[in-house]
Amino acid sequence: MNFTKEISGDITIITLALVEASLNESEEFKNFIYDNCGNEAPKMVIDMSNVLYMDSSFIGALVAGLKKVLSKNGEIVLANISNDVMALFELTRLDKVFKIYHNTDEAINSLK
Amino acid sequence: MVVKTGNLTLEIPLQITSYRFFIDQCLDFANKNSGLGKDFKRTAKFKLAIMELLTNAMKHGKVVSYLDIQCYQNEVVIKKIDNGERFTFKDVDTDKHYDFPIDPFTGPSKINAILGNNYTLLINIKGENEIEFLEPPALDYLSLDHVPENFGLMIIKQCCDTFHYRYNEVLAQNIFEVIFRF
Repeated sequence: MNFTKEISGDITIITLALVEASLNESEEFKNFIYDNCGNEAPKMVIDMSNVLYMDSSFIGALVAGLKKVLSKNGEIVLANISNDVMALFELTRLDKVFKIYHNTDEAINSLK
Repeated sequence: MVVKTGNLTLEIPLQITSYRFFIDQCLDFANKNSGLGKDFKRTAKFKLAIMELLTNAMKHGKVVSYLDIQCYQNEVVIKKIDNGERFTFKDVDTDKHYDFPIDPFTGPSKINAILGNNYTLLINIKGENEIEFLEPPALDYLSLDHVPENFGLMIIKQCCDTFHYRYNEVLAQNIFEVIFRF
């Protein structure tokens, strides 16, 4: 499994079990997000602690997921982003679009 | 005098199972043969550019392509070369579709080109078979709808110093050239 989910109250914590998040997994990930935001106002934490490399395709899937979740009045936040991946977020200015937290505890608390 | 200090060519398969394999090889090679150095930001950008070139190869190539790295004391030149479909783009303002060789080529001109589904990038048309990707204006998304879901070429441009596409008519080759200068 490239992605796992854990439910904590009304929050879904999705962990990316990937070192490289790329074109190979981007479509699967987008569908995973879509499949897990069926309820009203979904709240999601994406734990990216395993990811060392991410490409534009995967970040595009994250953007698509964010659009879907926000369209349902939900929230999606990111946690545990490595320095290299953060460089990608900064280059694309998506660090201003996503809510990013140092760890999953902070991310979960932000949604409570 | 510009002295080449090393050259590395890697074949990119149709399906990449390990980006890391390529990125680490390229980074090691550039570190040993150029002044790329250990600066975190520069290294991160170098790795991102390699990753995006690999993704571009896998996404659009549909043929085996090559990554060619030439090192000099003060720069690294990375080329992604393939014989797949030519790069095309459209002028946002005139809706004109461009293919290579550009005919008629009436002289250098800068246009705002639409690439992929919903993002634009400034392009300088430098010749009938050459364009340069230019620095995008400051990115400020007006709303989430304005955030693109594909922006590989934009990322490459933001990582490097110069970024060109050239079409070699004789060899029917697409060449994306990325240069890092120190």
